[in-house]
Amino acid sequence: MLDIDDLSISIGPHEIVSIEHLSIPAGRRLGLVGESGSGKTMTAMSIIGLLPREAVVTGSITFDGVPMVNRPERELSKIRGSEIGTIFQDPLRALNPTMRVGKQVAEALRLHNTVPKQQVRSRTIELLDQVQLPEPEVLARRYPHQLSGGQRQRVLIAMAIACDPKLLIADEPTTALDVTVQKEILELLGRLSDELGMAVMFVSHDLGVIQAISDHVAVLYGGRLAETGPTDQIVRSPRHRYTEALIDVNPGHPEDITASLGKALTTIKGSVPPLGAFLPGCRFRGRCPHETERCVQEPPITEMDGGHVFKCWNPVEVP
Amino acid sequence: MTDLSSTDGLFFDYGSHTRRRGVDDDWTLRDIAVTIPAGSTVGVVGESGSGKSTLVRLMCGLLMPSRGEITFAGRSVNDWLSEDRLDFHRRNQIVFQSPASSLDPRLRIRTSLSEPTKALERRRPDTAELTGWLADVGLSGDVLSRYPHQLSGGQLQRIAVARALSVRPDVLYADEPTSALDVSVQAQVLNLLMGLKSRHGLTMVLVTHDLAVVARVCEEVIVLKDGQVVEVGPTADIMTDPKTDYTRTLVQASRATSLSF
Repeated sequence: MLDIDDLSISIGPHEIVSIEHLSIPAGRRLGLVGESGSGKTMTAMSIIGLLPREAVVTGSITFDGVPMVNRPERELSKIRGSEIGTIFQDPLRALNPTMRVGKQVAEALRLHNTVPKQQVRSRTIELLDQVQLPEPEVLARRYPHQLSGGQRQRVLIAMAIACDPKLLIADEPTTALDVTVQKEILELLGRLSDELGMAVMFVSHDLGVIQAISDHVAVLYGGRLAETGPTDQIVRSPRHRYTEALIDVNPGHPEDITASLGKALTTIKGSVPPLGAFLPGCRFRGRCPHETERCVQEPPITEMDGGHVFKCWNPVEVP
Repeated sequence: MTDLSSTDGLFFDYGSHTRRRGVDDDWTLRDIAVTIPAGSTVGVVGESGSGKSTLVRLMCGLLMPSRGEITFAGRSVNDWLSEDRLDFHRRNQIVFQSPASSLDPRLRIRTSLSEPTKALERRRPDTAELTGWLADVGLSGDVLSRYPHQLSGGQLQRIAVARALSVRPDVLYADEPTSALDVSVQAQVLNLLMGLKSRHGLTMVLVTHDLAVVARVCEEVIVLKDGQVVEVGPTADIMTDPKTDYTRTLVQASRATSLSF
């Protein structure tokens, strides 16, 4: 349903994103994972044309058979919010503080004329109920500041699914939330995606969160696709050295808490280089503990069973 | 271990300082009795609104209790603040969640880093001292001339830690110090805090909603819910055998979003 081929996003002299191929079949969930500055958000936003004005995009993004790259703004804005829904990290900033939340959900419905005028109100309540907000009639009359962080994110999800989108882009939607609320929101998104047959592109820096929501994952580093494939397979047996590092760095839940207490956590050497400061060849060079002489060249693409693909000269050995 | 800091029958409410209130009223913190043993690392966990940040702000003297007592090094915090206010603040330092907003955007790092020494010790630190503090948190002296916007989140959090430690405190309170950071940077900052703690013989109180972090760093945990302590104990016990439903929910939620192999 969504196909990305030879996508390249540049700002000025710097190529920020360069992806050979990435796709999401209808109704499926894909996680984009990587550190800050790895190009996750740029990749997601390029789909709906929400990039900085000076960004130059080449290659092809096909959504439901329709090309999206360099599409006129008028057509894009019709697709945004109707066929592709979006939710962001900070729900408070995404809501209008001076408008009751019910009205904001109704606005999403009116804008795309999805239901007849007389039904807007009842559909609004239905949507608030669908995202499991308690007493939707009462809640619809509240202002954003009267809701908790989790409730605000639910309102945004209600707005995003208002027009039955085929794809939902979720950019770190649970990063600002408590663990308990995070779990509820992830469960809600999973359930809505199953019930509505809605595909999800889920952006996060936390592989644990990605594993909880999506069956497939794409690991990005320096704007390049390091590894992609089924989430469980990649978490259990990563091949790319960056994926391996991302897994090792996750504090997780140790088996023996007393033994691991106070012991240093595994880290990734250095930090993500600033734009334009990546070395040629493999992007992870300089931070990778398994670097070889060959890594100065662009790494080869290795395809394995089950759609597991990685780009690494010196991959993790499979046992 | 002796107790360095403790609270007894502590009540607090943001609006109640002038009002008479009964113990049954709706308090932000209600009847808190906790102890922080000297030299330990204690985690304070709970959901948003549970009062965990309020508790550490009270303990380090940034807020005054509505009722009850806070004791530091065997002496009431009230006495400390009226008799040795500067010394109390020197001994109790805190770092916050967002390093970008705890450093003044208009000041060079040199100025921000010098502030606690100027305020609490009435002197101006020299470049050698400043560079030494930065080296302690793994940064070079180059950053002294920079402004906050020129540095990354991880670097800024290191500077906030260096600034707190510049006055050689007894206790370092850290309020969600890694929540705004990437997982990779989070591990670096946690390692830094653990290393500094053992090098300087600090006592550390870590506020977080992330039990995975607590499990790696803290010996003891205080679980707060709606302003009350629901459970206190060694981390391993609380993580493997929580005694209350609330703690169980927290542990399960944390496991559900952790990597599983």
